Amino acid sequence: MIKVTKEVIEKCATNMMFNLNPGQADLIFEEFNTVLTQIDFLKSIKGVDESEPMTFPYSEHQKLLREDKPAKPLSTKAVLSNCNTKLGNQVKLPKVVGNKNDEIDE
Amino acid sequence: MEYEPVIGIEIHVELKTKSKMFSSAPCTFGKDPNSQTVPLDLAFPGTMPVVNEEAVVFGIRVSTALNMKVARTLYFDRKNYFYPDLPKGYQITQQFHPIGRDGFVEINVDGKTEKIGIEQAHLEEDTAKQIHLSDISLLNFNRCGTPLIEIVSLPEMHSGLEAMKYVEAIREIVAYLGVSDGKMENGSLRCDINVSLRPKGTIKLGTKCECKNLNTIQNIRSAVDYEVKRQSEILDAGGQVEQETRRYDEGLKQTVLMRKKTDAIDYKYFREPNIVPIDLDEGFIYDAIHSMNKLPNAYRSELKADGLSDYEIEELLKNQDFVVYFEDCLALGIKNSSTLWNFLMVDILGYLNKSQKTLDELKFSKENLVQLVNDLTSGKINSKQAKEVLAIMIEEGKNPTDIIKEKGMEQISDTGEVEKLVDEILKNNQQSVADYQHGKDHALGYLVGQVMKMSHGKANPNLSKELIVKKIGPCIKPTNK
Amino acid sequence: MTKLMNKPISELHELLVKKEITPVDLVNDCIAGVKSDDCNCFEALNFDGALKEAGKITEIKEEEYLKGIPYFAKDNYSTKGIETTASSNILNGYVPVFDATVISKLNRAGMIMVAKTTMDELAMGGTGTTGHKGSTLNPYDHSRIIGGSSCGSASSLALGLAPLALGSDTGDSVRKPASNGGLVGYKATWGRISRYGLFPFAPSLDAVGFFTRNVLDASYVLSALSGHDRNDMSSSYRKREKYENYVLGHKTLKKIGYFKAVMDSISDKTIKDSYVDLLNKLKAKGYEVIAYDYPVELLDALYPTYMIISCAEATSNDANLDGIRFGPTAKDNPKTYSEYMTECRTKGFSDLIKRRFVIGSFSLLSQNQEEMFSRAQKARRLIVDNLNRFFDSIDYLVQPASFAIPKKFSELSTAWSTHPDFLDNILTLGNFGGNPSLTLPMAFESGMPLGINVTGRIFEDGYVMGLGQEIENITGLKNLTVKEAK
Repeated sequence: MIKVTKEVIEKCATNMMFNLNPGQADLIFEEFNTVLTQIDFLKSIKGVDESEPMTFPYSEHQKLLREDKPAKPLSTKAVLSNCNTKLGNQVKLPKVVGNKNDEIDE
Repeated sequence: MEYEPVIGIEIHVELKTKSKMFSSAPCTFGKDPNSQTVPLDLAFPGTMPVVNEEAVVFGIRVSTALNMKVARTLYFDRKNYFYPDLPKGYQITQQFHPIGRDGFVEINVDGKTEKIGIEQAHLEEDTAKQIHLSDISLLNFNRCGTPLIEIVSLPEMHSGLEAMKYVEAIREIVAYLGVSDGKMENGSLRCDINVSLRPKGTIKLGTKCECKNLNTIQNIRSAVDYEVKRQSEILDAGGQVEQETRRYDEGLKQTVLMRKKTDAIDYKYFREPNIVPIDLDEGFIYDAIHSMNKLPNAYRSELKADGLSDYEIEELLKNQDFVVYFEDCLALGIKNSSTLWNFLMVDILGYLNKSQKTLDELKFSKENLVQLVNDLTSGKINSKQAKEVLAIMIEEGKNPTDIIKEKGMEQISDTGEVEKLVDEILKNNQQSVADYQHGKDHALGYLVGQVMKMSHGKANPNLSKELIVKKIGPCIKPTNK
Repeated sequence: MTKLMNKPISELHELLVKKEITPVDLVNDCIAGVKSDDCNCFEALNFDGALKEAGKITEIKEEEYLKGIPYFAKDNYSTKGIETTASSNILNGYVPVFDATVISKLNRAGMIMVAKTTMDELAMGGTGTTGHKGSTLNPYDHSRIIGGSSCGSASSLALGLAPLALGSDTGDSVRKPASNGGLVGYKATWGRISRYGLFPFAPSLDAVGFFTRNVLDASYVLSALSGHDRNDMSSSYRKREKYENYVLGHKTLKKIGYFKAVMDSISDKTIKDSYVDLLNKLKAKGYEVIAYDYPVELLDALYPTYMIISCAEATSNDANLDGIRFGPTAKDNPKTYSEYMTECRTKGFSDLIKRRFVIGSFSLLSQNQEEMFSRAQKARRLIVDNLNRFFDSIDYLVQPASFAIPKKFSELSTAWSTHPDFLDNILTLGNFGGNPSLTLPMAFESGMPLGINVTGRIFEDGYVMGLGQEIENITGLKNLTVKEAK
């Protein structure tokens, strides 16, 4: 596990695309002490690390998939009705440079 | 120092389903920006993914065609990162349980068949499209959510040629399956190629560089060859290859640095909680597989058994419609596959290209074509006549039997009748007979021509030739003094 | 102050059928009540839309139980044409272009949505204090919380402003405020009701829930809302039922259980006495009441398991909130997409949300996931397996929904709890296992309501309603609203 430091906390925040207000990183740092103690407690529960992680509340699998029938799309007006940063019928952003890991800009 | 290039390839194939992977928005091309989306594609709050059945069917077919084990239960996971073309802030993919794993594809390199291992194939969704202007970028979400299948090879290729053949094989398979256009030029097939070198004879993998932005099959070979050369030079000079992402520059014919791979992004993969596990029952999988189109290699072996040459086979395979048409004709009882090939790939293809039409727009039926080929083969008409008939079939759509009758083209193949003609010609051309007997073999052609002329082109030329030679004896060339 | 909105749906329905009142009358009455709200219950208002809908209704048949009845929806339900913010600044001005499935269903049943209600920001809270409009007050005592995250829905019903309000329940966000407000609060089986259009907090725990003031009303609403939705792949194909039949027909199962550990830990005398009294009365009615040994360490695990799973999932679910396609735009001249998103998210999320996101994100990092997120999911497995073991032989888990009267605002902290009391988190059991769970009034202490909770096996929503009705008959506590001294 990564050791919790103020830098790690700030980095988590930046990776989540927000900045922390002054003093918040300290608060989080303190909260982490509590969290990690509680993690240790979970670790101490008999049988915990042997059990399978549970994502869903119960195990009921699906069988039916969606039929490949296209639905009527939203009008462009509806699509952009909440967008306050657009040019014509496209969403506008400052120029995107520096690609993420696995997709080239076309 | 001799190095061994080690190449692994990740291919993203855009699936041509009617609707998207997780939303019911239409998959289209070239429509107005932001006109082909539903709320999920824009990640409006509260929207949820619903898996497209056809995409799963396509995934099963691709996995099967690549000799992979098909998963019996589908699981999906979230790949979390922030980028403008990814509206949810995560991509739904299959990180832990891909739909297909442990397969291979066969490629033909310099006459030898090689097996390239494939690690896995998984279903995921495409991102939105970005257009970059001078100081802004524009986002169009039409493409967002289109189904993709990502095929990950094992690092088992060792040259630009092999890499190119691998991608070509995959491209051909997905096109033949009908699951994708498979065109690198329009982005429906995208490759990322990882190249590393290691000293020949060693096992440990070297540092790999990723090459992107490859728009043609040819570029794959060039890019890999250049990259191998570039990395060799670095290593020879005592340096170290750094992990980089590079793009291929067509003009320079070089790979160019895009960015160094410093911090790998942590995608925080976890199970998609809105899609419960999906059981694929045996019947569903069976139906998906048994309704698959025939694959190119299956065609290759069948057509070879039918007597076609490698060249003829490859030309035919370039267009799936043609090979299907060809095999349909064969099934109707073709007597000579080469003749059929010629008619189809020379005359008919030529016509279709010129008139910009397709096979299903031909005015005559497959039965008609088969009839024509068989008539030629049996000697009912000769090859010159056959071409004439074909031309009329193409223009007017009449059937060959009617055309032959109308044009009085039926060859005289009755031995007695031809013999009568031959006798007549021989009687009237004593000099040519003598010439032939004394070594001038071109006289035979002249005599056959006379028979043809006398019969208005209807005498069977081969039969005529046979009878003439039988009657006047061998052509004896004089010995040199 | 309203004249009609504090009545049960059954009464309003009768008046409507007999044409003694019209839907427009009801809506106007509701609007008057909304305007008189002094507990900060409401977000966007839909007065014009509601009156228009009400005006279209000409006739209500006997069997159209819900038609013409006004209701409120928690502000995390997508409502077409009506601003929906999840009480977060990051969604200020966001007007959805589609309705949540539950909204469509209530619409089709003829119900009329008059207003959206306040909540804890993005549903991540249990105090009703973290929404962008500030705290929602408990009508019974304005110095105390109503709880959360469905605070506005709870308070508005306790005020008697409508007979139904939609909420959502991820850890207890309907069932705890119901207890604090003297209401019926229901959380359906996970997958029973479509979540399409419900802004997700933690999808593996989220469930649609709602408030009414009596069990019969709740059963009718459940009938209207349940069923498979092709827009929600986690919704169940199991056949829908007429849940009101369980209530009207007094259909229940017979074995009631409680956790010894819970019983032994109750320190509040009123709660203990009313609880024991209720159990005895149920016994007297022929129910078997069984003391059960549920492992205490798993009860102690409830809080961290819940916090880690929910915070982690939330970081992913709220990654779409970036101000690009919707939400307030970035104004400080960002030079890159990264700056753009960061500005919007920095301004749009409160400090508390950010703290939760940091911890949630940290627990998902590949280096940490095994120790944190996966381990919490493993603990969940143990918690649910043991709960299912309880349900192997016992039909209901009945326990107090609250173990103290609602806290005062001055006593609150929103920090990650250092010494969580499992009693405070007992209702999360129903979220971990996806169980149907009903809170209804049990007693009063110092003028403050206290609730009892009934949890059943998955998809036995009907039987849960049935026992709820039984308990309602025993306590006689139903259709409670705070009496306003005006």
